[in-house]
Amino acid sequence: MKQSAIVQIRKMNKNFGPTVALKDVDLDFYPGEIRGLVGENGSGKSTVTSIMAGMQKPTSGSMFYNGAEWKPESMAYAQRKGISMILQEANTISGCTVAENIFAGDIASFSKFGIVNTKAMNKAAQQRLDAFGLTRIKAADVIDKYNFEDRKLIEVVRCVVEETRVFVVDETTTALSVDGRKILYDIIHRLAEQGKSVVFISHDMDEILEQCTSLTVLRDGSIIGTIEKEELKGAATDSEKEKLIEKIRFMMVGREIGNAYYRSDYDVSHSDEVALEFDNVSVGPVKNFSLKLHKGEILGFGGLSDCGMRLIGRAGFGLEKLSGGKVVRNGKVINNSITAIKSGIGYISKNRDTEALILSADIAENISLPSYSRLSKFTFINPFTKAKMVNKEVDNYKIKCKTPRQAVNTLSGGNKQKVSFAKWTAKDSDVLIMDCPTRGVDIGVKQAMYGIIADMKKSGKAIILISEELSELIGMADKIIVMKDYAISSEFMRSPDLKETDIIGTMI
Amino acid sequence: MGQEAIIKKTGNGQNGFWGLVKSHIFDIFSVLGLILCVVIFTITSNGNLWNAYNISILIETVCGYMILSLGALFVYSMGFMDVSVGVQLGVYSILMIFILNSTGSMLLAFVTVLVLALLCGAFNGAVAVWLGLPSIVTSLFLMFVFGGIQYILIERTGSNMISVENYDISKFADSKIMILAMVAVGIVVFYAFNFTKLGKYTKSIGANEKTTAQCGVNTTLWKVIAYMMFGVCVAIAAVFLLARTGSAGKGTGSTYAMDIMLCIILGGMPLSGGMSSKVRCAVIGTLTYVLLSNGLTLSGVDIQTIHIIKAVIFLAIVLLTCRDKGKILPR
Amino acid sequence: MKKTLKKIISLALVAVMACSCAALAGCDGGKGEKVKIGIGLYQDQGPAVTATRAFLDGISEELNCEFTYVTLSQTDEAANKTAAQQLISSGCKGMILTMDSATEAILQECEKAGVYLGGYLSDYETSFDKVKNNPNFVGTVVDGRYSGTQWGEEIAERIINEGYKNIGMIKFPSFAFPHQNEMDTAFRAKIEEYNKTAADADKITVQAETTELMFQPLSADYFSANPDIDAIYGMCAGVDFIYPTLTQNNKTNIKLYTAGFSVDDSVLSNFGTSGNGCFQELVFSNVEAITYPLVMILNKIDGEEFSDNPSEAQRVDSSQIRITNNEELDTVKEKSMYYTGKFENSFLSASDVSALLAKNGGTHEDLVKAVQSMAMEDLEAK
Repeated sequence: MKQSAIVQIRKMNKNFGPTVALKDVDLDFYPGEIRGLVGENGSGKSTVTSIMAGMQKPTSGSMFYNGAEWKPESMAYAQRKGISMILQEANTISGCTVAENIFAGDIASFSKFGIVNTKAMNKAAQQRLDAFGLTRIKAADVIDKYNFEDRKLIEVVRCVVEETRVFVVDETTTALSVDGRKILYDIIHRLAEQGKSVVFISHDMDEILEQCTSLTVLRDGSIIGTIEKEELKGAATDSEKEKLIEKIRFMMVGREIGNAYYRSDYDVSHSDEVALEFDNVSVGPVKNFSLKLHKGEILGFGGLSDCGMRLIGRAGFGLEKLSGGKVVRNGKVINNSITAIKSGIGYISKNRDTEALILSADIAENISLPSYSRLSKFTFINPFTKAKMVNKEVDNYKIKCKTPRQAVNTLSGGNKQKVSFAKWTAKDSDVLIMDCPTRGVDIGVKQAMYGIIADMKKSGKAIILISEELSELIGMADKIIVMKDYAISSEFMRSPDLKETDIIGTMI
Repeated sequence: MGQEAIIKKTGNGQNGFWGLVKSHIFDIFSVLGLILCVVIFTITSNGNLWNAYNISILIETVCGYMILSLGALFVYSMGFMDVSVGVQLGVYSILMIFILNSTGSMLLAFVTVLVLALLCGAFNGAVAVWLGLPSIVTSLFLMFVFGGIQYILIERTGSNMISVENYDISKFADSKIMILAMVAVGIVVFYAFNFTKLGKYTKSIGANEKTTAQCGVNTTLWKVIAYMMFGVCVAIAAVFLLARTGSAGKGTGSTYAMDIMLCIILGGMPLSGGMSSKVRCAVIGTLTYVLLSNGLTLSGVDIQTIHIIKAVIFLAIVLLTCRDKGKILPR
Repeated sequence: MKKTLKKIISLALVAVMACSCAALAGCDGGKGEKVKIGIGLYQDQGPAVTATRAFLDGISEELNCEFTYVTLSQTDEAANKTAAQQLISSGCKGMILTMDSATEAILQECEKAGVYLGGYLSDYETSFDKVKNNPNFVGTVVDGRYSGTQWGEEIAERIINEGYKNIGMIKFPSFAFPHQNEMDTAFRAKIEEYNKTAADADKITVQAETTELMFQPLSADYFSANPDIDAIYGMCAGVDFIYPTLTQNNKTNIKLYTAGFSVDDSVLSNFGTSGNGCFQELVFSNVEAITYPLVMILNKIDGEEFSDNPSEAQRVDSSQIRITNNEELDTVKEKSMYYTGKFENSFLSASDVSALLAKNGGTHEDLVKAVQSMAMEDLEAK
């Protein structure tokens, strides 16, 4: 017997111009549950929660909160009434102290006759921080002292107050380290125990299964279905979990993903030929790093966000000034991006929109840019040859666009990522260094990309795959190199028995 | 990430006819602007706009501006600008007069000036990068240096201005030659801008230099080449500028730096350069600018009002074409 | 959407503005039979401009002329050629320019278009000899006297009589104003002649080397270099280039004899015996001198010629108004068009000018006389 819902959403519709974001959505949130909301980009999960939390208004439909009609004017209003939400982006105020951030919007309660009683405010703020187990954060410090993750946690402290009855976590965990996530999980479990309602939005399947008590799937603005507690917690063994995940994915995408999501084979063989070598490389805080990458090998790099794997990736492409050692390919030293590209290395940056693509340029231009040296004959770049090359890539990657003359900033994240892949295949690069290549990409597209990467290995390309998603590394890499504190901490070979838990231990 | 999805869903209204219009809105406005000028001024000048004499002086005025604007495309598409063009033209005119008067050889004069222009281009393109300064600093430096040189050169001659004595330069003032030169430069620039690495790279450097560098483009080298291309056009324009009066003085050429900027911007070129830079920006812009000055004068508007009108139009166009990225001013 | 709307609105505003300005201007486009004459001045404001415009406005109806004004550049000949071309293009049959800049190129344009060119308050030093035989060039009227010798001697006389003993000498660079050299030489010669017979205590010292102003105001270190001067002969435009420096450095006790004029009270109230008494001589040319090139041009357009027309273009001196004391200043204030800016104070009335035309029986001799009868005595006699 279910308790009555804290929040009821009825027949909610939301349109952005011609785009339908939500279509007749009916949704209930109950006390004491941690409801996972999953769906691809554009499925509506963020839209519906942001409307509930007062960020925007629906086009039509109604909401009820504690039985009464709910029409929040703003997020601050909603928070005061008990519905708070934290997002993925930074939402703290630089230049103010931690205490000021925690009590932002509520400073009046600490002021008499216009003068703020800083001491009292700091004391109260510290109490709250301690209650969350964040004793290492000092309320009197200026918030700029703390990194992104700590600032996120401070945001949590701000949002979760006595009155909070519904707490929405929108894709926040990607920004947090293992420690930070643990703190967040504790918080939401505690809230659930207290009879509050938590809505948890994430792309990470494993996380969802671990933390949530029930799960609702959205697709294209409609509710597809809810997986209740029994079913969710009922999947105990690994294979049952796999099946459940497949089912969820099916609901999210609307078609059979099929068994092949990651690589299905366990063939870790590769050529003996060295495609790229790091010879005693010292760059930044990384010292004396040596590694050989072979043709036909997929080398995965994993670790916490600041472990040095990113630097290695950039160094491999010549983007970093080395303080020692060298990066070599085919006997040539790679010390800038021009030599790197000339020798056939490609690099897909994590900062896709600022480093990997020119957003204002069209698809054809982006794909062709590295290849102009090759395309140019006696200064002439034949537009037909170029078009042929571009079309080949567009077909190959099934990039969804009306024409390759379309600007890249009109594409979805997944298609953008495809374009950044296409750049290097058009150039016939033999070595590819990719940094978080499937970040922010929908499941369907992710699958396609994994397929491409697997094909690349088969055709003899050498790949360095830097990723923050352990399941991705386990699923795709021949060998996983874990880095910790700027040095190699451990290595794992691809195997069907490899578990995330094995790896995590060496990361922390 | 959720918010990104929301925003993306709304952005893609580029369908059909109106989509086409929206994406070419700047081009359409600039052509409309030109047509508007033509129509208005034909009326207000009582048709004087089109008499044979006026056409010939229009061609004469347009020639220099057009060749310079076409060359400037490469620099502006990278989001840079060059304020030293004006004084460079002045010095080149003076040098050409010296050489013509002492040797009578146009070829020597032109080659000298060309070499100098290329050097200035290389200077503008490379030094800023090496010193890690915005390129406007090097071009300002050149402006002051050349300004001083121009002044001293004229001082030394003991008169206010010097003229070409030993050579019949008026053949370069012939309308037919001017049109030929404009067309020739136009074709070369069009080709370079659209079908060669130079054009592709300058546009992408303007759009996103980091990404371009990560695609294996030696951005320093191409900046230098772009400025040198501009230098070639400056040298050619200097010949035609000199041919107009056959003389040069302390102030010759000084207005051109800003005038070029006005021309290009009137043609719809965004100040931050990038992918939407087009050759037609230079062409339409130059025509509009010259027509504007000429038409307003023919219509009897006095000189102060003309300055004000030009300033207002300039401001309006800058506001219209500045991109949201926040990179409004050239680097 | 809002942004696009804003952009459309701003463009529309601009178009409207351009339209209205052009329309307003186009209003006076009703031609009829009027002869259009272009006037190129090198300033666009100031008492000379106001007076010139007033004069030309005053005579335009009687002469059936319409005058168009452009501003010429002091340094950029291409701009001046463009200005001339615009004048021709807008229908001018003649043009009167105050600067000898790109003259040959401009004359080429004039020849092409059948337009006539005359000079005004300029001696056309650079190109006169090359263009004096050009049929489209009608000659020029000088800014006062072509030779600077006479004024140099006149000032020397004043200095001697008024008892100043240590004279500073300031002028513009020789290449730009070669006649100031003549003033300089004549002045020094006269002083030297005086010194030959003067007692030692009465001898006059003249600054050894004349200071040349590079079209920048006098710099303050002039006074450290020349500490004892009691008067300055400023051959250049002293009102703008010397006086301000005197005021700024509290040196207005030094007497200033200079060329130029101002309608500003800050200048005139310090003239002669008034105020700080700094200014002792001011000189200007009459704008009515424009009658010379104008009449010569109109003759050509009418297809008429003076019976005594010179065989080649002339460079004609015009009267100058020398103000040497406060009474003369008052006369100027009362009677000179240069000060009042009003046509009713003009030396020449519309019918006076009309009578000078060849078709109305005028002669070259009369014309020259007219522009040379506008000195201080003539002003007093008005």
